[in-house]
Amino acid sequence: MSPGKASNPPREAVLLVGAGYGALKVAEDLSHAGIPVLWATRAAHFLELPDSVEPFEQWPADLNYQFRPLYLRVTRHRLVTPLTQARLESVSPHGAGYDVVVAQDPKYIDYDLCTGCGRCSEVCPLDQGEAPPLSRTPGYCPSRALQLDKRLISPCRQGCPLGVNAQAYLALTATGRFDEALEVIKRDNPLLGVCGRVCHHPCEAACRRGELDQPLAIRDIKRFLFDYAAQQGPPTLPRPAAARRDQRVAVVGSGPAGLCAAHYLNQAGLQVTVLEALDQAGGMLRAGINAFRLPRKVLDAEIQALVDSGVEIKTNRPVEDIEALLAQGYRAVLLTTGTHQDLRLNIPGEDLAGVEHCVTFLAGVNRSGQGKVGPRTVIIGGGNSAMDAARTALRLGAEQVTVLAIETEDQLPAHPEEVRQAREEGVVFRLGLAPVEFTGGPAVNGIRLRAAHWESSPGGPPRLVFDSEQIEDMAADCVIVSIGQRPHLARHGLDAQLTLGPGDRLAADDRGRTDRPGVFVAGDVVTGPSTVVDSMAGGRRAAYSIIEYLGDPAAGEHWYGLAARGVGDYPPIGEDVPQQPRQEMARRQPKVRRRDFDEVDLGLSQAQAQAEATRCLQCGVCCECQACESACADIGAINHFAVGRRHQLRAPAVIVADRAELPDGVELGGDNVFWVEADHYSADLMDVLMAGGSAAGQAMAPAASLRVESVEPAPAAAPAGDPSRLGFFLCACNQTMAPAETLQGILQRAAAVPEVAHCELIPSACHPDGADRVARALAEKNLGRAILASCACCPINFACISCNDQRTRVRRHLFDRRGLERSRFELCNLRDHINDGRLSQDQVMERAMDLLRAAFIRSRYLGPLRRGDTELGNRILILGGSDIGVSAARNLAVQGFKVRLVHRCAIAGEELPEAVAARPQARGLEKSIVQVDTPVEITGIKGNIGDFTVTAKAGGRGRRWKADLVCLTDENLIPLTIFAGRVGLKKFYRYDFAFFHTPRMGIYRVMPRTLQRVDAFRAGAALAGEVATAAAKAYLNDHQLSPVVDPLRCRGCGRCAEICPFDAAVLRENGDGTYTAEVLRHNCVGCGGCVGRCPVTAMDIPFFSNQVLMSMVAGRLSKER
Amino acid sequence: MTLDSPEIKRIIQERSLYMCLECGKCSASCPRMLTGKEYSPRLMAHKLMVEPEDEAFIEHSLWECLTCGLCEERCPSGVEYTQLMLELRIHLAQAKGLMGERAHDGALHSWMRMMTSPEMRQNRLEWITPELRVTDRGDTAFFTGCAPYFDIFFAGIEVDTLAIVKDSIRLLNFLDITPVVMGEERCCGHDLLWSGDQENFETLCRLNYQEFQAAGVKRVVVSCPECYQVLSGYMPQVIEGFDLEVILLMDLVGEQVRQGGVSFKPLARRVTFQDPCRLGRMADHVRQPRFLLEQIPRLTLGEMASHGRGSLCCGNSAFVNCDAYSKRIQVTRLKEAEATGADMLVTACPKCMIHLCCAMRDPHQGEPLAMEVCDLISLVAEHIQWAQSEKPLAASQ
Repeated sequence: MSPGKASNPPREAVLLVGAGYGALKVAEDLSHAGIPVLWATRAAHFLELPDSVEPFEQWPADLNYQFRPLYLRVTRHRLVTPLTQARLESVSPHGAGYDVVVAQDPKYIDYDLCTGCGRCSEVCPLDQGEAPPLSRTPGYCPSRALQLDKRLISPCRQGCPLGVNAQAYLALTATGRFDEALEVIKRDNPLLGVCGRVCHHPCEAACRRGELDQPLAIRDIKRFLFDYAAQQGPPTLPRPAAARRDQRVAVVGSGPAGLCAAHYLNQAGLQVTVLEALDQAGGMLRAGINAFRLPRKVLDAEIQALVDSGVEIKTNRPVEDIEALLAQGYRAVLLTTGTHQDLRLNIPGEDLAGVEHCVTFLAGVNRSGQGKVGPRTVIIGGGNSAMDAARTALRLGAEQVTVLAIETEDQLPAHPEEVRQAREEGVVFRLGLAPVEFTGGPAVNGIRLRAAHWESSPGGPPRLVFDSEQIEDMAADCVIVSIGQRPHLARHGLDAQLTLGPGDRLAADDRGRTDRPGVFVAGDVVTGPSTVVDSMAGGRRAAYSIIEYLGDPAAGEHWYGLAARGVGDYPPIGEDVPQQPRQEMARRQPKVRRRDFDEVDLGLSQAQAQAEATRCLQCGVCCECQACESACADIGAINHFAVGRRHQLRAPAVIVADRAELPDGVELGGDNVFWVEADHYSADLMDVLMAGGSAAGQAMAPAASLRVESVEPAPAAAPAGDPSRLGFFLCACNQTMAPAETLQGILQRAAAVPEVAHCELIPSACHPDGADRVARALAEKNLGRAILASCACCPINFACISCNDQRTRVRRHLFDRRGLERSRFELCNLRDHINDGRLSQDQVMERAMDLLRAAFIRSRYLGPLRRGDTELGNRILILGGSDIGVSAARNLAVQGFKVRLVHRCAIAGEELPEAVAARPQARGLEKSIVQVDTPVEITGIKGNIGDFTVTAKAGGRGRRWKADLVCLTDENLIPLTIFAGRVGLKKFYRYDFAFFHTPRMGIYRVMPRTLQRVDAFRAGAALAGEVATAAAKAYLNDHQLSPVVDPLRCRGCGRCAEICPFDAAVLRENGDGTYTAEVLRHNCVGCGGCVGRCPVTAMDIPFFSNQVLMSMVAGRLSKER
Repeated sequence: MTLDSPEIKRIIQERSLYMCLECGKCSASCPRMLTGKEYSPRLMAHKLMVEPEDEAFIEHSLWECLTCGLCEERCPSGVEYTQLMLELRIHLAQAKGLMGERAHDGALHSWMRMMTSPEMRQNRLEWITPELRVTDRGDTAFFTGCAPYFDIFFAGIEVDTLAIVKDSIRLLNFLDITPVVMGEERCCGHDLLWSGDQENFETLCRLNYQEFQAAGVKRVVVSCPECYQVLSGYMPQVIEGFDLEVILLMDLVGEQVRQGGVSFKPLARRVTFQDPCRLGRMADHVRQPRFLLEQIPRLTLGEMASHGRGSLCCGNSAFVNCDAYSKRIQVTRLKEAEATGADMLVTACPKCMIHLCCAMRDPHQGEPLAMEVCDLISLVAEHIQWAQSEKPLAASQ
C-alpha cells in the first residue's frame, strides 16, 4: 500500500527501512519535525513486526489497534513516502550521506482508489481456495484496501506460444463459469475450437501438476468449453469499434497464422482483408488436417465468427504482386502463405504411379473427399502429417498401412497420442529404416530399404547414416511420402519479390518484419512446417508489428510483457494435495472409427471438465482472469498490468528498523546510519518506541538541511452557499452499500425532506470523483449544508481509533483538495450499520432511516469548528545538564534551534542533589548553546507553550528566561511538571505513551527509567527529536473540538479543571467572588471530558453541541420522520 | 398569554401576596440576592402584583428562587412565598412549558420522569448487603429515596449517599425494626414537583402509594427531609384516602433515646450542623438533630453564623438554576462552617451533602474549604449502643 506520493517520491529524504512500531515512531518524529522520509518495507503493511521482534506478551493482543490513528497520521503525512512491498536494492556512500535505490513491487491495486468494497474478491474464482489471491491486511491496519497476490505467470500460460491464460479458464471452469472461461480464451485465441482439438498443447508439457501425477488436460477442457458454447449457438468474437477503418491491411493466406493475424488487426480497429488462393478459407487447417481430428463444422464456424466480427475473407484470390496490393490502398501486407510444396526423397522411382506426396494426398482427400490408396499402403515419414496420411489411408480402404520411418519410437516427431491412436486403428510401424528406391513400373510395387539412423551434426541438420549394406525389399501398392513441406512461393511468382532464406522460406525478424516497409510475414512460410499454435503466435506477432507500423507502439505490450509480470515464485505444491489421475475423453472404438471420417474423440463431460479443472494447482495464485477488473470498473483501482518501480534517493541518513531487510551482503557503515534497536528490544513496547525516537532524533542532525518549513498550502475555499439549502449525498460504495432499490428508496425518502434541495447517489465517496461530484453539486445548486452518508463518521481533521484510510480519504478529497468547509458537512456512517448480509431489506431500510433521521436533525445544528493557532518560536530552555540534557542540547543546536542549557538546577527551597552539584561542566559544546553553569534555584515556570517564563535565583540574583519549550532533564526537577492536588481523571491519566511529555504542554521531562531503555546519548537524541517535532512546526493548531464556556451558566465549580488531564480548563476570578471557567486553546485536545462533567451545561462544543445531542435523542424517540 | 390571568391572580391571592407590605425583608434575607445575583423576591412580588406584563422578568425570576423559605421566615405579613413560587412554577410549566435551567443537563429530572413508566422495573434492592435485615411485607417501611442513584451520579465528587440509607437500615435494625424496603420504589418526585412538573410528580406518588399498599405498609420511615416533605405533605394531597403514618427516622431514634436504654460511644470532635430547609424551617425540626448530637459524649457542636430556622441554604434545590451564585452561597456557607472551628460538617439531607461537597472541591480555594462531611444518621448509627441490660433480642444476635 503506497499512498499517492509513491508515484512522485522525493529525491532527497531520510531513508527508513523496515516495519514495526519502532519504525512508525521514527517516521512520526521525522515527518512532524519537518524532515522528509522515504519509508520502505518488504512487508505488506507497516505494523508487520520484524522477525527479530518477539510479540509483547504483556500487551493485549489488540494492541495494534491502538496504533491505527498514528498509522494513518504518519502514512498520510505529506513528508512521508510510505512504500510497502518494496526492497532496498542498494546503498552506497555519497559524501556524508548515501545514494539509495529502492525497488517497489508492482501495485496491482491502487491503495489510493480502493474503496475496500470487496466486490473483487466476490467475483474472484479463487476466493474460496486455500490461498485466495485477494486479501486484506489485518484488521488493525487502518485500510480496507485489498491486496493482490500475483506470482509469476503460470507455466502453462508461459508455455503457450499464444499466451492463452489457461490458469484463468481452468479456475473459471472449476467453478462452472464457462462463459467467462470462454471470454478469457478468446482474448488470446480466436480459434479456440480448432486449438481445442488439434493443438499440440505445450501448456500441458509445462504443467507443474506433472511433477505430482499427470498434467492437466488443458486442451480437452478448452474443447469442452467450445462444445459447451456450441450448444447455445455459433461461436462469436467481439466486434471492435471501427476506430481506424480508414487503414486497410491485406493478409495473404487464410491458415492459422493469417486468420489469427487478421483477428488481432481487426480487433485493433483496422480494416482487414484476407486473400485466399483456394476456394475455401482455412489453409493447412483445412488442407492438412483430417476431418476425424478437426470436424469441418468447427473450422467453418470459427472462420464465420471471424467474418462476423469484421474480418473480410476473399477466396479464389491468389496474390501475385505485392506492390499492386500496396498500390490498391492497403497500408500493409502480411504474407502467411504457408508450406504447400511437398519435399521429395529424391530417390529412384519417386515418380512411379502410386507414389504420392503427403500434402497433395491429404489436400485431395480433405478438400474433395477423393483419394486412392492400395491394399498395402506405406507411409514414409514419422511426423503428424504421416500419422494423418496413415489413418486417412485406412479410412480410404487400405488393408494394411505401414509407417516407415528412420527415427526410433522415441524420436518420432509425431505426437505420441497420434502414434497411439494410429496403432490402435491398426497402423504398423517399421522404424529405423530408410527407403533407397521405389521398385515397379509403371506402378510402384515395392520399396527397397536399408537400416539407418539420424546422426546429429553440430551446427547443421542431422545427417542420415546407413547402418548396413543389406537391402530389404518391401511390397507396396501405394506409397505416400510424408517427409515435410516447403513454401511454394514460385507458384504465384512471389519468390522474386521478397528476400528468401534457407529452404525457400521468407526472411524476417522475430516479429515478422521483412526488409520491405509495410510487408510482413508469418507462419510456416517463415518458420517451415510447424504447429497450429506456433503459426497463430507468429501471426499475432506480425499483427502487432503491423499495428505498431501503423502508429500504435503499445499494441502488444502486455502480451510481450507476460513473462515479466508477477512477483515471487509459485507456491510449493502442498503435501496435502492428493494424487489424482487426469480425466480422459471418451473415444470411439478403433475398429469403428477407421470406417469413416467422423470425429474420433468425443470430448469431456461437464462433470469431467469441472473435476479436471479442479486439479489445477493455480501456480500463479492470481490467475489474471480479470473478473475483478470488471467488478471495479467504476473505481478503476485494479490494474493487472501495473509495473514495479525503482526509486533513486539521496539520503543524508539511513535508519534501519529491521536488519533482515538489508540487501544480502550489504554492510552499512558510516556516521549516519542509525538502528532502531534497544538493548531489551523485545522486552517492552516502550523500549522499541524509545529506540525509534532516538534513531529519529539522531538522524535529524545530519538531515536538518532537508527541513521543510513551509506550511502545506490550503486550497482556495469553496463558496459558502445558502445555509437553508441542504444537499443529500449517498455513497453507493461501488454498489455494495445496499441493493440498488434500497438506495433509491433512501434517496426518495431524503428528497421528501423539505429542506433538501438536492439528492445524489455517489458511486464512491472516497474516490476523487466522489468528492468532485459533491463539490460540483454544492456549487451548482448553491447548497449551504450537506449530508454525506457513506462510511465516514465525522468531518473533523482527526483520526480516532475507528478511523481508516477510506474515511480519511473522503475528508481529504472534500476538505483538503476541494476546499469545502468541514463544518457545513454532516457525515453519517451508514455503511457499517447497513452493510450486513444478515439484514433483510426492510431492516436495512429501517436502520438507514434511523441513522439518517439523526443526521438530518444534526445537520440543522451544524456549528463552526474552532480554529486558530499558537505561534511557537525556536527558543529551547534545557534545565539540567545531565548527559541526556547535554546530548539533547547539542543535537538541537546542530538542528539550528536556539538552546539555553542550565547545568545545575534545584527547585526553590530544595538542596541541589550531590551528583548534580559535583557534575563537571561539559566542554566542547556547540558555540551557539548559551550555557549557565552557576547553581540555580528554579522559583517557577509560568505561561504556556510558546511563551514560558522561567524564574530563578542564581548567585543571589533573580533571573528570568523566556522560552517556547522547556526540558527538564534532571530527576529532581520532575515535580515542576505536576500540579498539586491532582484528582479525578488526572489520577489515572498516563503519559507513558508520549515520551518526555508532561501534563503541561510544551514542558518535557526525562523519567529516570528512560536510562533503563537506552543510553544517555541516545535518550538525549530522542528528547531532542521529540522537542523538534514541536519546535519545527512553528505553530500549534487549536483543536477543532475545543469547547466554549457560557459565562452566564458557568458555576465556577471547577469540575472541568478537575477532570482535564491536560490542564486546559482553568478558572478565572470575576472579581466578585465568583469564578468562570476558561479553556486554554493550546492545551486542549478536544476530548470533551469537561463538557460531560460540567454540572450546569455551561460548556459546549459548537460543532457538536448539547442541543444537537438532545435533539437527536428526542428525534429518535419521537420518530417525527 | 399574559401573567394577569385569573389563575395567577387566584394563586397570588391564596398565597397572601396581597398582604405584602413592601418592607423588603425578603430581599434582604435572600441568599441569591445577597450573593449578587440579579434576583429580588421583593421586586418579584411587585411585578406579580402590579406589572404582570413584564413577563420576561417574572418568568426568569421564577426559577431563580431557591425555595429555601428564608424570606418567608422573615416576612412580617405571612406571605407564603415558597408555596407561591411552587404553584406559579406548576402553572407556568403547564401553560408555557417553562422549566428553568436544569443542572446536569436535566439528567436527574429525566430519570424521575422515566420512573413514571409502570413497566420500568426498578430493581432497587441490589445495594442491600446481607447484614441488613429487610423484608418485603410488613407494617413499617423504610423509604430509601434517590441515594443509590446519587451515589453513582455523583461518584465524581466522591459523595457516598448510599451510606446514609445503609446506616438508616442499620439504625432501624438496631431499634429491632425489620423494615419493608420496596424493590419497585420510585423517586418521591420532590424535584419534579419543585421544578413544576406536577403531572409526573403525581404519577410517582400514585405508583409509590400502590407499592406501599401492596406491601401492607401502615407506617413509613424516611431519613431524607425532601422525601419526608413529599410523603407527609404533598402525597396526601394527591392520594385520596391517604392513610399512612410518615415519620422521620431521627424522630424515631429521638423517641427511643428519650425512653432510655440506649447510650452513645464518645466522639471527641467539634462538629457543626447544616439545617436543611425542608427539615428546619419547613418541618420545624431544629431541635431534634441537635438533641441527638448532644447525646454523643465529648462531641461539641459549634453553630454557624446562621443556623436553625435562619439557616443559610446549601445553594440549590430541585437541580434548577445552579450557577456561579449558587457556588458563592456554598462558599459562604462553608466559610461559616470553618469559622465555627469544627472539623466535621454534619448534614441531614443528601442534597446538602452533594452541593456542599461539590463546592468544597475548588481548584482555587483548595484545601481551606474542604471539611469532612457526615450525615446525621450515619453519625448516630455509628455511635449509638444499647445499655447492656436493655439490648433487645434481635440486636444481640
